[in-house]
Amino acid sequence: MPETDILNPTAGWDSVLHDSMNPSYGFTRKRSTTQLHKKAVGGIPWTRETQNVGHSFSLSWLGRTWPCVQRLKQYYEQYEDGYFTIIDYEGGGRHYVGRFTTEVTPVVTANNKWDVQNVTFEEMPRVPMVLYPSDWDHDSILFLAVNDFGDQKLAVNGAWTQVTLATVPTITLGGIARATLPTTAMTDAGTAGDWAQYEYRGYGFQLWLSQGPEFGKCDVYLDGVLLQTVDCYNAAELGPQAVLTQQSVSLDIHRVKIICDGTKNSAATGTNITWWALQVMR
Amino acid sequence: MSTPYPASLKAVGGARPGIAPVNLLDVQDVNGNLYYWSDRPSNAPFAITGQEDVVVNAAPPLLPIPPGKSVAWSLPTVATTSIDGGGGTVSASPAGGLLVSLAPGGVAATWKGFSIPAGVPESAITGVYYVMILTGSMLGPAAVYLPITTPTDMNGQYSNGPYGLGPDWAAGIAAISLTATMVRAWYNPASAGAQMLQVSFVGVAIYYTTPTTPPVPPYPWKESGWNGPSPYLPWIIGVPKFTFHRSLVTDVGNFVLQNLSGDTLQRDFERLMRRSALEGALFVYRCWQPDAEAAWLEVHGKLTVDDVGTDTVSLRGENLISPAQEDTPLEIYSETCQLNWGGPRCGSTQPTECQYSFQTCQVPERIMVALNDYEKNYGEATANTALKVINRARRI
Repeated sequence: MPETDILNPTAGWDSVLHDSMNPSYGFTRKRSTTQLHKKAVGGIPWTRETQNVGHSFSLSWLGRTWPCVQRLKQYYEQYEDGYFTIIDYEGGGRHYVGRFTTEVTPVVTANNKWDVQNVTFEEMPRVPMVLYPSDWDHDSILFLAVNDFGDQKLAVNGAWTQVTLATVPTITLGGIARATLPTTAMTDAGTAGDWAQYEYRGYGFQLWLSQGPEFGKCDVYLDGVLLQTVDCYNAAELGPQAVLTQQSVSLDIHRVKIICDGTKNSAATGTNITWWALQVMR
Repeated sequence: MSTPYPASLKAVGGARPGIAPVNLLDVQDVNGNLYYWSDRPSNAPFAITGQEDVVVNAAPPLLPIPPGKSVAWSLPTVATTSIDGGGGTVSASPAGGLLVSLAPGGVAATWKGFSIPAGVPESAITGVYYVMILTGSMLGPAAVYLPITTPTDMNGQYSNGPYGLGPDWAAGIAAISLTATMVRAWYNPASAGAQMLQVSFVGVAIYYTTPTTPPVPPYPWKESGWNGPSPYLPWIIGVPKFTFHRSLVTDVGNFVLQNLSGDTLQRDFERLMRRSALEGALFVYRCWQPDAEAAWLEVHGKLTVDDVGTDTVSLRGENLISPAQEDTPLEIYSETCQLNWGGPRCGSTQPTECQYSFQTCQVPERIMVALNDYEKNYGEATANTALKVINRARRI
């Protein structure tokens, strides 16, 4: 179970190593774009997600003990064809699974002091994690049914139409409470078999569907596997709500699909289904 | 002499700093779907406009759609029968109209309840035609009566000329009543059992002027398009530099369009390709000067899909007349006849074979030679210029 092999299992001093396995200067996290972009001279940009590449880090350990350097070398050798976990304690303890993709080159700088500089750690997609990312307030992004440029990104089948919602919730994204999120959504009368589907790159997701007296039931699938049947009925008109949160999902390109059941709660007045947004962990 | 530019183009001048021209590409594919692409927002009028509403499962309209016109179908909502000594049945047709089978006897079926289809502005209507399509054969003394005059039977489709309904089109169309009548052959009771009239389609073809104002999204082939002020979607990444040969040499060029838009599962081009084929689609390319509202250049031709990449699609355009696309018989124009002597195309019935020359031809009216081509049978050792003056003129 390589994901349980953690390079830096403790946040502070490791008494065995007489040092800390946490890198100097923290985790310099970066992520290059995974989208293709094209734009006509006077047009709007068109984009498409094409890869499932995750984060990469440039890490350095300065003035470390030999056992610390030995561990780095061992992890580099061991997981050249595999992956392990590092924990970003300064970033809230978020786990990343991946491996070193550049060589660990120790340089002696003093008596029992070694420097290892600029080692690249790359995240690996499609692998399990001990702890999946869960900081929705800071690390997630929101995908709407129609993007900012008016290009409909939600794939639908059936009589789905674009609607403008009266109210949308306030969601904290990037640490900011976003009170003026777009109100465009896609709605369906709830005809059995009508479906809507969204493909995203990331980890887990939260699905935002409208809830109210006129809403019915739908089945939610992730990559073709039924997660749960969601009942969007509520006696009061609530607007979009996070009806389903699926956190334990590995980094990859995933598809979230809802299929209208055509059924409803006995108290509901209709079978409508309205898709507002998909919040995705990145 | 070339066609002069419009005065508006002369007014804005030629290549100079100012408003950049817009590249516009109008495409009508082999199924009649229309696409409008550009590289900048534009409110230019369409170059390809004529289109037919395809909501009904009926034969094409009898009359060709004039340029700038569209056809929408109005279907009946009410069907009634009147029976006089016979029988009849009425049932809904798959096309959304009503299907009536008339049994022998003095029966009639009448269709009513027509209305202007949604999306057709009343002010743009220019003509109305009734269309009634019969399936099978019309046996016995059956007849079709449309509101005015005697309908014309055009290969099983009955219609008449444009019917002026007055300035109030909506009321006029609502008042339309179409009737098919079959009369019992009283004089010959024995033939009564063979009478049959089956009407498979009843509709009113409404011809209207295609609005030149942009249609409102969503476009039929794209659930949600670009919500700009123009029907032209900004998809064009690159346009070709055309070289006009003014001969049978084919003028070709590649249009490059983005291939990224669409929902997260399917590109717009995938949907577009699944809907129809762009092979052989008609295109009109214009280099449009917005401030002059005129085109510097307009190219008409056919498209073929050259390459579909991950982020762009390359469409190859070539002019309408492309000799390379023609299937022609493998015959060479020469002074030697290319036909087989005595064959069907030759038609000679003479007993001896000809020499495949004009002089020996037995069926001169069918000879297959180029009478104005000269032989080049001079030997290599001699000069290529004939030293002896030869009069090659021939009498035909």
